[in-house]
Amino acid sequence: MKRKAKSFLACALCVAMVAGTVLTGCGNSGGNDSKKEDTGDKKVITFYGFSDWVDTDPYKSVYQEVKAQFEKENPGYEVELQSDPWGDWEQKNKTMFASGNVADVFYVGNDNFPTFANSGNLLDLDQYVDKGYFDDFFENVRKMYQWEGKSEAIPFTTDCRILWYNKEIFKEAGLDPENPPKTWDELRDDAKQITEKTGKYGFGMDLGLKEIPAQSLICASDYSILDVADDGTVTSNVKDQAFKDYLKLLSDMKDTYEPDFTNLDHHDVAKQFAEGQFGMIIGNNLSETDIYDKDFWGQALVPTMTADSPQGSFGGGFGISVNSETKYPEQAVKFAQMLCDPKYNGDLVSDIPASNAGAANCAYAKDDKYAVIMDQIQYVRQAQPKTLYFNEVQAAVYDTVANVIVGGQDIDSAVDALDSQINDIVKQ
Amino acid sequence: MEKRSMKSAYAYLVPSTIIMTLMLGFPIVYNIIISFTEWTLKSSEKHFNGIDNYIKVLMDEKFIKILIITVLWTGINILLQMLIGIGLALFADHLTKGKKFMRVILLIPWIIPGTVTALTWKWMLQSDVGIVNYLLMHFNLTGQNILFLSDQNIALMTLILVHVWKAFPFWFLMITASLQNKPVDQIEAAVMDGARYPHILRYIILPHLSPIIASTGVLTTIWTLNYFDLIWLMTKGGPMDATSTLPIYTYRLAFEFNDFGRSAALAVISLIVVSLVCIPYVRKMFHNMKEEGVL
Repeated sequence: MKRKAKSFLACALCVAMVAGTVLTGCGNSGGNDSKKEDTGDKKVITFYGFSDWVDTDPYKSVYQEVKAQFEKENPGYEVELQSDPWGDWEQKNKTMFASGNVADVFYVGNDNFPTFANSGNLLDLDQYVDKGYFDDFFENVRKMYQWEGKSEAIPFTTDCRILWYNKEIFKEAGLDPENPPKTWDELRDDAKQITEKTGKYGFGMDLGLKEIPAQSLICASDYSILDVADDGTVTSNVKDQAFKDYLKLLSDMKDTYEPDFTNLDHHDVAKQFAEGQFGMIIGNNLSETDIYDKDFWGQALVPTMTADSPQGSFGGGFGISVNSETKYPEQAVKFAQMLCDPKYNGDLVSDIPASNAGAANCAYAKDDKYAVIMDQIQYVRQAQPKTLYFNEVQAAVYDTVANVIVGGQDIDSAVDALDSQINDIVKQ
Repeated sequence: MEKRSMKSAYAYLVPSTIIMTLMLGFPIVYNIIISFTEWTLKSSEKHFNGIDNYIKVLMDEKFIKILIITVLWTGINILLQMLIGIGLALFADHLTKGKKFMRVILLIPWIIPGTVTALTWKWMLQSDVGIVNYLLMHFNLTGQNILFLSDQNIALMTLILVHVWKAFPFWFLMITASLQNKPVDQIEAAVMDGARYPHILRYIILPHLSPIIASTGVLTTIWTLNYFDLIWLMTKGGPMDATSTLPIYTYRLAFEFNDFGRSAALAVISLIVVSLVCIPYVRKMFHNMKEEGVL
């Protein structure tokens, strides 16, 4: 009997050890305690962002300035700035939402906005801001932060992708370095010519970034992966010829990609472009590289689907939202507005402010080297509208592109499978 | 007297049992509860939904593929770690000179942080500028660059070899420690009787090592099956899910698709898989413990 008890104890410990190791990654890991109690006479408003901006120079001092200014204008209130490194921020932010432990004011990534908005955790800002407050924000970006007709985040930053090309490689390939591609066909031809004539990689593909690959190319057209009717009905458009053309373009250019393209993300591609390894890439400001002082590069707007297609580029970025459960909604919204004030906005972020006045006041607007980015920024949008299925559809499209480019699946069957997958996602 | 000492022994176990119950028991129970709940970030409400999450996970067309990859990842990994670890430990045990130096050198991969290992190997395995392809080409072992991490047919094996490089030193360490206590008198008697090394290894050394092999097997199986950072940093589960294991998919369900219920269900399924894989080891471990009178 004793032996059985010991065996049982040993078994239980083994199971606990195994289970502890397997399961500890799941469930509620808590995160920061973002709901701080008021201190003394002061009412505390918590703010949560990532430390790459909130707690890193040169932005840190501006956050402190905004905090000081807010506290001066709102006696009795104190702002507590909380942050985590970028790598941890998104995961912790989601964990905070999952556990109902959300800060009063926080960054919200545009990709997760529908999820957070639908959860009811975001305050309807229209009730607290003046009529016309949102008029100066970029319209396409503003739409990204609207949910069921309500504005639930103030557009804080955006970015855009442009075509970067290597003029020296263009010359080596016999291409005109002052005449970068303007359409998808020209992009394909130039990329192929670069690879054939120089042996270098014509186009930098970043399939390691698990998002819709080269999404800017879709945005440079009048095509959208989904349509959302006024009654909320979602329709898949992936059987349209435009989407098949997009898949064919990426497939046709495969021989021009760096061989490890399935593992390269946008940072890898940017760095390799800055090292002169790619003829062309579609990237943002490449601030993670030392390209600024080099002189081999040229910039152009993202090539459009056809010569008649509208300009476009993928733009992401962040909004500032307010917790619907905050004790001090009025002051929290005021603090959110202060962060998005054109006076401060450009100095709080490494991206571009999402308003006309903010963008005009940021460092990029004052530097000729970013003139193309400032031209392109007004055309930013995304390849699909914001729906509750945003991440699932994105993953399905990613898998389809991978199946076609890497797995060699034929485009028609890939598109049929994607269409039924999207319909299943929407149905669920 | 014996009863009193046993009571004292159990009393000493109480604090650690309470701590373990709180530290391990709560997350386990909570995770199991979540796995029966419809809980996504899309809604602030959580609903009990029975076994829906389990059905969704099991019906997911990716699940079988990911399960097979996980079994291959774990099985090949453990086999190679064990063979290399035991082999090198036996070799080092025979050395008369340089034994300590070899032990220190072989432990280095185990000491290096996982993130550093992943990024260093990712860089070395790059198809065009990586040193591995350069060396293979230099010595005419291949005519063209090998896509170690980008070819869906070899990416998993590449990751397995990198992980074996990192993890075999633990086997080496454990076996080396056990060899310090090997039955020298039996080995000497066998030598005097004319036994050759393979027989000594089979009938004396390996039986002596079997308890440590079983317990190391349990630990490394659990660790390997749940290994996350190396895979995530090197391939993120790609290309085309060719290196996607259960922990990678569990993470993606929770933090990419914001579905905590389904993620928790997959974690529970992972627990069952780990338990099934560990059964032979655990039985062997208990068998040895019983033989030694521990149980």
